[in-house]
Amino acid sequence: MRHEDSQTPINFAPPFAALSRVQSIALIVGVIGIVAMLALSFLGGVFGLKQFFHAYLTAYIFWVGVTLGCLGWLMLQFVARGAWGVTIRRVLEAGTKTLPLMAILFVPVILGLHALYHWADHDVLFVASGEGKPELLQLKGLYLDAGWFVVRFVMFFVIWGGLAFFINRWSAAQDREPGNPYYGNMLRNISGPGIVFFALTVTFASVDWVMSLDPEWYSTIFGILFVGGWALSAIAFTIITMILLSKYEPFNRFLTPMHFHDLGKLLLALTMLWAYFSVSQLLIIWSGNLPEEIPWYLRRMRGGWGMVSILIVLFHFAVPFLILLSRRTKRDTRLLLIVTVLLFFMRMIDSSWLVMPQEFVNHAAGRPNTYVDFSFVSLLTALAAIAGIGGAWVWFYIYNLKKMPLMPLGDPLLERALTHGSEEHH
Amino acid sequence: MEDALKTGIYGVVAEFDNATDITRAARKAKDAGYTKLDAFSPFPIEELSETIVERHTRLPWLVFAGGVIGCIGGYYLQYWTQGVAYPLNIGGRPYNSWVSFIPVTFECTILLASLVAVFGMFLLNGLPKPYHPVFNVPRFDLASRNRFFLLIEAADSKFDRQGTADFLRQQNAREVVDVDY
Repeated sequence: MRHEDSQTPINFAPPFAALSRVQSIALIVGVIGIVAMLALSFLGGVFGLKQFFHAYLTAYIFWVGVTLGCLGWLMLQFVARGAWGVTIRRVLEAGTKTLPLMAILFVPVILGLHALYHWADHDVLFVASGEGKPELLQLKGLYLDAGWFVVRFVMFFVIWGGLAFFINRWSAAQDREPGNPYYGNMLRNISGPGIVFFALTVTFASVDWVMSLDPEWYSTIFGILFVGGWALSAIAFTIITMILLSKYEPFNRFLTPMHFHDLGKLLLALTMLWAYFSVSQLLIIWSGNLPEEIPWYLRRMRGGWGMVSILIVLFHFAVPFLILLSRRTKRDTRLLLIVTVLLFFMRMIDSSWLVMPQEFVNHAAGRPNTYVDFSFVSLLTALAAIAGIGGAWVWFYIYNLKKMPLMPLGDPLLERALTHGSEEHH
Repeated sequence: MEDALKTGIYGVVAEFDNATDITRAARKAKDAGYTKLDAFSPFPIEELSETIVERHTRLPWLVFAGGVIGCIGGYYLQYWTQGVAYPLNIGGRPYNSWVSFIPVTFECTILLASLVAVFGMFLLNGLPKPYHPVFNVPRFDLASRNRFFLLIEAADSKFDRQGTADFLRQQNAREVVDVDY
């Protein structure tokens, strides 16, 4: 992977031709995805408009997760000050620059509010729930309100956008003035408090966008489950990008198995963390066995969604966990790519698993404990929507990636990141 | 007499002045086909230990096996007590209440894996070792001050008392001596 001629200086410009090719592929996949999603929702689907919006929300939370995960990792690596962070910094930054796109793409969710969230119809909260829980729902009604929902959405994006804007601005300035410690300090200073705001906003966003799909249900670990899940999506996406870019200059000049070993360790840690949070949530709800909480899981443990749950346990955790335990997997880019793509795909299935089963409940509004069987078409619609939004996301991501050198040239840790792993004799 | 001497020693040890020399000597010895090497230095030398130490230890596999046994054992303990021996209806949940069994299963996995890690490590590296022949070398206490020692054991299949000592002398060793039992 490493060129032996260390004489010629490394060219840090992104490989434009290769990236443009991926952009074209992304656009084609995106268009196919959108057409497939529309066709599956309105021609082959069971629930039409509801299916369309649930699939759209699935795709939205999946891709906004990659964007926000990148923001979280970016702040974390500024605070941790590791050489591993310097190597992936530009890739993460390009991820955070997709925030404006994700803000625009939220509009359909607002348009589909009534199809998605049955708390948006006030009758449901105040009248229809005749089974002894109206008080709880009425109290929740103060929070679950269409106006407040939009206000909170704006607040999330102001906070995330502000963090991403200043980080990217100072990072670019640091490139221009390598010797100036000011920007490095500012980047660390914004990242520390930024992580706190990040965890809080992601928690509230997960409650608003996903948990409230079932207004009676609640889980206190839900927010942190999203922080972990989205961090996993983002690190998986970053590893895929790094492995694909490692064939080209500048990365083919200095990336060693050591760099991928570091990233592989993070992937393994996040896989375990996600599993830990998921099991904690299930354990708490299983032990409580309360009528407000348990239906959410019963819906996902029976029939078709039960099969999907087993797939998630196996391929979102057990298989990647066992494979990633080995040191060889983390250092062999081919093996690592396979495991990472598997995990990235399972993140999509997990997003579908969180959102799609609710469409049946919402369809049978007023009878929230009715279990309708799994529809394979729904899952396909969600995956088509992920491909659809993904096309636009990846296109815009690469558009941003092409604008900057692929390494932060002003970072004081640059030298260490470039020589990382070269002291090894294997 | 000659024969007794040949078998009667533990090995030969070479004393070096600096880290560069001993590292080079260790690599040469490895290249020459010696396998039973050991090195002693006042401070850790990463390159040296990478040359000397067999990187692919079996310990990770032992730890993994320990983890698997702990996992299955931990689950089975609960399954048998709660589901077979003394079935208890707890809040209408199934007897094999697998979700509730996860924490103890997890803890047993970690417990057995870490016990195997600690005791397996002692088993494989032979510690604690109250007696080691290399301490019979008169100047060996310098290994904790400013000298570097490379040991080739007599148990090595390539070992030849005269030949090995000559080989070490050629590697810029300050002194080469026999290690008595």
